[in-house]
Amino acid sequence: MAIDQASTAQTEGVALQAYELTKRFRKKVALDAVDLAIPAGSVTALVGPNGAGKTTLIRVCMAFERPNRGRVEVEGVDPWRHRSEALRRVGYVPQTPAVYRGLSVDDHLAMARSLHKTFDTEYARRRLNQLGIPLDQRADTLSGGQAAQLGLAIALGTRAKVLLLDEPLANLDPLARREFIQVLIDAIRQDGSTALLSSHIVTDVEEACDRLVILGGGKVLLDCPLEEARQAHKLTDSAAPPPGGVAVGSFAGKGLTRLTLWRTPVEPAEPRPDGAAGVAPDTASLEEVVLGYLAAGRGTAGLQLN
Amino acid sequence: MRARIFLTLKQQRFETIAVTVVCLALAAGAGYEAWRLFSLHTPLNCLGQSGFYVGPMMPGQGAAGTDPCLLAQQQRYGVLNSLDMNLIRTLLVFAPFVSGIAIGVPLVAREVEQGTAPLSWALAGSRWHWLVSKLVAVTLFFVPLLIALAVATDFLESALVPNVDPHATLDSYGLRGVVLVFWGLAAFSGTVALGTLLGRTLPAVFLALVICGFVRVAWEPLMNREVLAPSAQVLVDPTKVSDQNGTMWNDLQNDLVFRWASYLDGKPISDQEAQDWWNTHMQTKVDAQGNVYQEGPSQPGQGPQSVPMGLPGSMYWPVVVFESGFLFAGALFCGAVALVWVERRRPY
Repeated sequence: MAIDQASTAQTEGVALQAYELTKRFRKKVALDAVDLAIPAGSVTALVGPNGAGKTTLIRVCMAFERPNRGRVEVEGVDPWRHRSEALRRVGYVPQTPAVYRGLSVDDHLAMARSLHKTFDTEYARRRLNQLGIPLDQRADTLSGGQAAQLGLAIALGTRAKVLLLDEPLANLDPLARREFIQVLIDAIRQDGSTALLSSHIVTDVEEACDRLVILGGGKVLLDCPLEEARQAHKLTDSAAPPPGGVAVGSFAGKGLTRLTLWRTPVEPAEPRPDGAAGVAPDTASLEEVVLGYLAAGRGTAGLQLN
Repeated sequence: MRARIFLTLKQQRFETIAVTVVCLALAAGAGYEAWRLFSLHTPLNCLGQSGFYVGPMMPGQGAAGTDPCLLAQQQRYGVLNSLDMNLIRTLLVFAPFVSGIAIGVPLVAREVEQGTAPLSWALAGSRWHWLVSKLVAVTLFFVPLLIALAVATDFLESALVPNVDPHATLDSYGLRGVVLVFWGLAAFSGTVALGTLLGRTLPAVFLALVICGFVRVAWEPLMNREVLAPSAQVLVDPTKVSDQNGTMWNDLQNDLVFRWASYLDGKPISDQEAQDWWNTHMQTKVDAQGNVYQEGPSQPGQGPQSVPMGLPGSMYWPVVVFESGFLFAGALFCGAVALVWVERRRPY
């Protein structure tokens, strides 16, 4: 297909790419000239506070929203211009588990099969069976966690190369979150697909992801591999920077201590006596990295971080 | 496709069941009322000319006026004015609209409202195909029910006017028969479009009721005046108007009368010419008591005659096909609006 060949050549190795992507809702800017490239095969955490633009970014990728400027490509296909082509490549899990009242779990799979040419009903059934979700149960009587699993099973059943998950964990209890993440990790490892998982709670997605994108105020504040995000940032409670450190942002720590996040040159972690990679005492956790960038995003507009 | 049809109807199972029950119950009700009328075996000579009922309220008009006839008339009058007959006939008028609204509005609006549209639109890729398959599913379910209503209303009409083919009279032609099918389709398609535009079920239902009510009330006057009236023809031979002895008025109940034209000696004249003729030929006189009166031509056939202009009952099918086509075009237009808008709208 002409669209595929042309675009694949341009975006080889990139599953999802945004170019100067801008989306405004009246005067509110939801996405502000976002440039983003999600490598194929990666699992990317899209993190940011409420209103950061995470959902809007995913909705633009799903052709639910039309960008005001710029464009996005899913596996080299612009969803707004070639919606069917693009959406065939995407599995989508919405923010709120959307189920049809009165339809059974199996009806949902049948509906997905009737709507999506390549939907693998058996694969989805198998996943739900593994989780002990009865196929004949009415979907509106499922628990929140089960409904989320149904949404995930439908997305995975499309066997799409790209998975877009819009805060699927937001309404789940800790146990359901963990189960969801485990199923996701398992499926992605098996299928080798690319996933963009949005959340405003970084600890939820830390385990599943290998890449981190922090969105704040409609801008990309950080876009790097997860490991790099951990290693290239340090946290101090003093104004003195660590060697080679550039201040990112300050935020209130426990006991109202003012903590500052610093971006530093990547250093290999010091080996521990047992041979495992150690963690330096001032190394920032992923949550602290996110907090530092969000503080910077709020306090210092236009800060060049990448 | 079968799975899609089944699931579409299952998603709307309450509306589907309700519409099925209402349509079938009304069709059965119409059949029952028709059977009640037929079972009276009212002699045709006790009815008015052309089979139209002339009851005790209008004695002497076409009816024989004998006692057995009066009894038969009273029995028929009782059935015609019974509560259940009036209820069924009234509900039959609204059934296609209400059914169309009930299954049309939620088709897209509920998906948007309940948050399932993002899921199905993400899976379908093409929203156009998604909506077309839903429209086809509901149409396949709805049309047989509308046909049942159409057949039942025609059957009832044949009982109300027993010696006239219901397809050879324009009496209540817009409230029965084939036209009902297209009214239902138009209401369905229009409210799908409305639901797609608004994305909310309840406001769309209220708006749909108002619009359908307005369209239904305005339809006949507008259609008659703007579309059908130009094709009006003379319904009664102008040279024989005066010989009809009143029977003409009964015959006209099969026809659509739009206006009256003046004829003199079998030739059309303007109203002004008719007025001038009367002014010339009427003479003002005073009787023995001193009362002033006007006297016209002594022969009944003399002078300008008012002749009804309209469409005869024999044009039932051309009129019905034309109006049905009009409604079908409207249904297609509304469907197209829904298809265009569903491609553009947000799923929430």
